[in-house]
Amino acid sequence: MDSVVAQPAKRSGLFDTFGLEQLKRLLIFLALVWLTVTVVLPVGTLLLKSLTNEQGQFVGFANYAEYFASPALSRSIGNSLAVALATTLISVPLGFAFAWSLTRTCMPGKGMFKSIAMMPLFAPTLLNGIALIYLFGRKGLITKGFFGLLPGISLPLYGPVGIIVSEVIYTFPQAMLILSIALAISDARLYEAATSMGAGRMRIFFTVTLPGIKYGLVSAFFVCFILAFTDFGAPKVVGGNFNILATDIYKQVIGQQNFIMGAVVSVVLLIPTVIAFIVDRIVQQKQVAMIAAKSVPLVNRPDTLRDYAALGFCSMIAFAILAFYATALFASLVKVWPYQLTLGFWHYQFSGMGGGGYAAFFNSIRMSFYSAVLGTSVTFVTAYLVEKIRVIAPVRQGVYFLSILPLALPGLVIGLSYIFFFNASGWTVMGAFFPNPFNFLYATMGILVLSNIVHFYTVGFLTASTALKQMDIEFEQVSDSMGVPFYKTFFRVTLPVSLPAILEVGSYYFVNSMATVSAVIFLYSADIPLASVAIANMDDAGDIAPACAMSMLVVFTNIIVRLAYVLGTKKIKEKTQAWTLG
Amino acid sequence: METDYLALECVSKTFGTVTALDDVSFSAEKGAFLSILGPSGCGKTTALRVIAGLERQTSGHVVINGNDVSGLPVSKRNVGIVFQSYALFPNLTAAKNIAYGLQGRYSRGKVRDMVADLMELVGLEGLGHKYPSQLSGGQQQRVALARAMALSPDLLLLDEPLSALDAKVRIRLRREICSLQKRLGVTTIMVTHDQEEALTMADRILVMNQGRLVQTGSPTEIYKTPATPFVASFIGTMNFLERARKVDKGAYVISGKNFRVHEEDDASGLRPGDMATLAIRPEDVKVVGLGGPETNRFSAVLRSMEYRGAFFRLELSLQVDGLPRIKADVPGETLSALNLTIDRPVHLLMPPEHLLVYGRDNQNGRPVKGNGQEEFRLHG
Repeated sequence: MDSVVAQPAKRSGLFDTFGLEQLKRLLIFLALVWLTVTVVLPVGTLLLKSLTNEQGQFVGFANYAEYFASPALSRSIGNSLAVALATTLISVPLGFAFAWSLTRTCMPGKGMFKSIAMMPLFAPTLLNGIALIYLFGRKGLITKGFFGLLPGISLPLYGPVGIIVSEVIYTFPQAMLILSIALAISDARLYEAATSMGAGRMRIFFTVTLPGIKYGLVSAFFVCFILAFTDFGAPKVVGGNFNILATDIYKQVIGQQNFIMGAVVSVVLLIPTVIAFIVDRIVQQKQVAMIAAKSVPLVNRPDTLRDYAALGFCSMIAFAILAFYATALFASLVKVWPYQLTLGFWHYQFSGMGGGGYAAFFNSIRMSFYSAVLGTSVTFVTAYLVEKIRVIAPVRQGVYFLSILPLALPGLVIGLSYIFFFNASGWTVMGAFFPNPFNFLYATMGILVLSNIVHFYTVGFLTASTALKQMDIEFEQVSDSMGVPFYKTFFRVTLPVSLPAILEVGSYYFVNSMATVSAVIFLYSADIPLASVAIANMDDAGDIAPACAMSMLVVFTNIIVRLAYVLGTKKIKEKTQAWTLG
Repeated sequence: METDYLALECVSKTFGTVTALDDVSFSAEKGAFLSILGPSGCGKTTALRVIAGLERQTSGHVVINGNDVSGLPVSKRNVGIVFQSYALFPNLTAAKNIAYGLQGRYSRGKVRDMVADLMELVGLEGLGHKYPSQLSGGQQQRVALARAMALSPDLLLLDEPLSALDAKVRIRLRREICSLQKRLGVTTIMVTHDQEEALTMADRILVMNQGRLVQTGSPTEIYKTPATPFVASFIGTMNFLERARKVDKGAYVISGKNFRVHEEDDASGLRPGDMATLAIRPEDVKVVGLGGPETNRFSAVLRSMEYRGAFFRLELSLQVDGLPRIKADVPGETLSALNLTIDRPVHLLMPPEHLLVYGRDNQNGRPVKGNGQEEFRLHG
């Protein structure tokens, strides 16, 4: 070997090459095992439970027959569908108008409007219900005409109206974000071509704008539908006697201790959700194909009338959202609503209240922190294995599918599945008893964190995947050709370059774990109370003001975490500016 | 041949139902610069990836430096790769990119010295602290080259290494890569779709089409005696005269016009009465006034001319049914000497020594001409 540079030296590293190949296989296999244990087995157990009786004997569809024979139960299907559909039909147009204003006009204050519109993402949906009570309840601000200053307006709050309003507020930011992305990727050349052919504004809107975002629209539609269809928090507070599937599951399990019927309702809830999920996935893939094409970004030109109309609309929405949460904040500080309007922190003491008070709040922070750290690690590594370590194609595809699947699983379904799976002491399969190796997790912080990780898995996975896809696949090949083990490249290149996405996933995990109530309400134990569960329980007990106060603590924590994320990302951008210029 | 440094033996690669490589065999001597040339989708990149070990062949063997590496992953093959995208790590400086494979194998000081040597080798002194995004395309290219060379690979593999650069830089880097390759004596395989790149850089060119190796040879051989019409049209421009009927040794007739070719260049295996295709490069077609030799002289009418800088590309009609317009490259002075204008009648000369013959057998990629293409051995 003659060379002016150097002689090849020994190939170093923990494993030799064949060991490395084995390690890759082992890792992707472990990912499959992990998703099987946390997703497939629990949901499988739930499905099985819905087909057995109290004694554990297989009864086929007898439980379903019983379910559909009871109008009190099966009526909820129609209720849930109606509420979800109404929410979607309001949310998507509002989200579209807002997103269009943000992306297609020259109105001022776009950043501020977008931040305000995202507020509902940081709040537990329970708070939406509570705020509505303070606005439109019997002693509500608007019902009473601002404490008697104006004539009051009375709304039939408890029931479908209250649920729909809460869900619109909850789903609006999601629709807005999806449609903003869809609108942002449009190709300026299409608009130039249409204008050059003499097309008018309306014609362009219907022939260029709408077709360009059709996949985004469909996606927004299904996402809003799924969220509204499966949400538990708001209906719990303002549902009244109007039964929907999500509250039915809760009532069956917590109220009547009828776990079997809970499983049946869960499956009934799961079916439309899974259908919507599948349609959404198909549509998403088409959307991705559209982005791949090269396009010239659209530059908006000022247009006074349009810009003012957009500004007016966005101001209205922003005002409504701010007023909504401001009312909740105000109510949480008022001594006795609506009689003694002295402001103070009475309701923030939680003394003599059920729910756990500050212990619950700090437990929630701990839980969210663990969920963020562990969840981000697991999602990122899984996405990395799927995107970059392309070994054993069938296993890889299995891991991908199981990573997308949790998006279709409502929190309550995950919670109930986890009870069934983790509480079991073991299983008897063909006469042999297998003790449950995961039983120790039951009623611990561990199961709470695990349920959160799975509940919010898909969004984190997709965010990480997108970031990884933008990285040259040849990085791995180049390192391979230099004999550098893949894990070194993972730590030296992949991880640092993906840092913004990792922080994004982390903050997403934290914020959602703080706010969620649906999965954890079945899984928390008396010695580990949680803030969101405390809100539900205090609201149940009629302590609405402390429930509202606790909600505000959650909102503020989430806003602080989100701000820390924004600042952190900015810092990273400054630091890495040198290598992200290109 | 014992001195073969790299050999592919009957390598095939299929992806599902698609055959990317179809029974490809070739070899190269140590220090050779080979270029695999072909249109997109012809399998050239797959060939490179199979040599690198990034892709496992469906059948056949790969031998590097006397070792059968068919079953070895890329990390065991000791090859340096420069990808089309360069695949430089964006978060590492140029120096750290180059040091990437060296770290952990050598002491810190040694790595520093080696990186300095490599930077000097590719002419990047003083740019070690820059990140890839702060470097120009040409500089990034050199970093990728230095990184690939850092571990003194047995083989240097270049995948369309210059296609991302603009024309001026490309031409400069062609020369630099060639001289670097000669200095280091590293056996190099370059994949390209750019015929000019292959002709100017490589010692040997392998032309591929539809997963098969169509012709191998020196750049001159490939250009002067393309083995098939495909090679002829892919590399440079070629006039094809189809439906030529053989009447005798070296004599063909198309639509009543007689064509003579050199007997030793005549396609083997063709008997009188067989059909063939004749071909000639535009620069070999002569445009002349009246008089002179009568062989292969045809009257024609000038139909169009295109200014190409150093010469004019003319299109002439032979005014015979069944004969296409003939392209001819003519220097400006010939043009003015003949006082040529559009629609003027002229005479065309197709010298027999420049006329190529393609029989039916070599229409679809199997060379039958007797100038060495059957033997796919390369002598770098």
